[in-house]
Amino acid sequence: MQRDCTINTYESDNMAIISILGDLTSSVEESMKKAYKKACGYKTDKIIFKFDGKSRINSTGIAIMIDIVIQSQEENRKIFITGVSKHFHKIFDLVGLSRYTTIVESEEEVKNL
Amino acid sequence: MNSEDMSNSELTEDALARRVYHLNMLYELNQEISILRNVQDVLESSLLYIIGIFGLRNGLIAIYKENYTFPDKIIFRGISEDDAIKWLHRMEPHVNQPLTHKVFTIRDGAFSLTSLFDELNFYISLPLEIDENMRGLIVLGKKLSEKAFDQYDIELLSTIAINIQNILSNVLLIEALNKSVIKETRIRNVFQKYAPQSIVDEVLNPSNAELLLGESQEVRSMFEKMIIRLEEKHTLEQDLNLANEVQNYLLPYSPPKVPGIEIAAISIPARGVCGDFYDFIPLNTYEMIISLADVSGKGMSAAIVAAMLQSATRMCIGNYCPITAILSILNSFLYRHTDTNRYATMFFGKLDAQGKTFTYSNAGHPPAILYRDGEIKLLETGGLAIGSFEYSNYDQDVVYLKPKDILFIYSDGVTDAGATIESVSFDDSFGQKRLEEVVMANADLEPNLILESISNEITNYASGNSQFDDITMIIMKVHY
Repeated sequence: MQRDCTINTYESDNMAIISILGDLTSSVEESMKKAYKKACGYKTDKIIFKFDGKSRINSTGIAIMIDIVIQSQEENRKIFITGVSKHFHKIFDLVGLSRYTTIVESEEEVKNL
Repeated sequence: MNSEDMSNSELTEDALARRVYHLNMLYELNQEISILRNVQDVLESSLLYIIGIFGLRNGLIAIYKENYTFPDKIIFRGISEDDAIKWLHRMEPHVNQPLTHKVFTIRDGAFSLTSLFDELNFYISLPLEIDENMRGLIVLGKKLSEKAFDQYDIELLSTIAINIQNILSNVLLIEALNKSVIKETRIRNVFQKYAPQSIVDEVLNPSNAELLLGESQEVRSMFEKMIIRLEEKHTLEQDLNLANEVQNYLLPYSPPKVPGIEIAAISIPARGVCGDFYDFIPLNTYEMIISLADVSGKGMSAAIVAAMLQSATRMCIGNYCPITAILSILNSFLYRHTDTNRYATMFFGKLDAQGKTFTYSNAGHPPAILYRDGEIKLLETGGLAIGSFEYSNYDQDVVYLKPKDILFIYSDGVTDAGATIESVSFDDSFGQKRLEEVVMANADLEPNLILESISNEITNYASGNSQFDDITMIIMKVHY
């Protein structure tokens, strides 16, 4: 059963956080784009996508992440991802997202990077 | 599972994870686009899935109508519209050429398109043949992982392309059907309002004209109900014909040629569409995967699951993957994606014509018959029907083939023939023993003639009782 997705963007400790509660699919493409745009408005080059640990990400969600990651490369922003299960970590490896993002255990880790 | 299979499985854990991810996404893609009702939505959704499945930087799908000179629709991601149009403009001379009727990759150095791909940073193109007046192209860019497209990717893409083609054909047929229903409604309205003789003669059976022209409200109401029922029946028949067309398309056009082995196969649905399927998937000149499955239930719902299972099976095939592991994957896949009461029996095997072996695993399916030197052996090794439990393991066995061996794989529609749907038991059915006798009696014939003999025997036996279960048969004869 697909879970609804709620996306919030905020700034914390000089990092932009995009919090994703629920499943990431094509239904939230516009919200994700808006969230990324808002995150780019903060004075930081570190953007963390914070999943809730139970999020399911299908291939349309992966496609959305790819768009954002490619854009962030062009803009020299650093993308971090936290709160994804081992399974999705593997999927990110499979589709190449891990090459352009850093998957971390928590946002605390990013502070020291 | 033997030790070699075990090491194969361990070595390919990542590969299996990749296949399971792809299988799930293919299933989701089919689920999502099969409910869409316009071409634009189907294309947008498909491209998004493809990009996510392979982790691509960019891609586009273009649809061409009739003269194939300029795309009727373009859907793109990861590139600008100008670039997409520019690229397709360069591609146009090739769209109507036979060369585009295959999957191209950047490695196909022999083709003139390669330089175009290189120049424009696209890496793969595959055609869509939606109907005789509509074609399309899927063009995909680099992977984010920088890895090249491999043979497995190309097979997966081809499966996806076939699914998109089928869905687009459905959407177009539904559009055409809607137009036809609108036309019929208009005619009916005109008839009700004016009842001119010319329309009555044209649209209705003239023998009913006198009755239908009556002004009685009751007759008019009966007439309306009749038309609604006819429309429903017409729509249902259209859907059934469409499903039957799709199924026929999925079945192998003809059995593949394998050195030293002759093969014939047939599938006869009980209700227009079939919950059975068979498939031959060549791995190389000598090796081939053979499957025959029977999905529980009948009619359209079973046919949909059968088509899904057939696609899933094709996606799981790989030289390195043991057949028992494939059955385990298919088992979990079917369990997760269907109701708990939906399962399938499956006879699954790998034929090696060079090594003269047939390795098989039987997932709850009627045992295949091996006829050799006047003796019958039943091939039963395997496990439970797939889709019954979330996890299931399977055993396999190897048949070392000898000249004149006959291998007969079939669905239970063969042995149950003659029974009726109201039957409490299958005591009156054609049965296993009778089937074995027919195979033995006709063993000297060519495979297609053996199938014909079995079909005739079944028809004669069941005379008077309509066929209530799908009948599917594969026969292989060794000619070393």
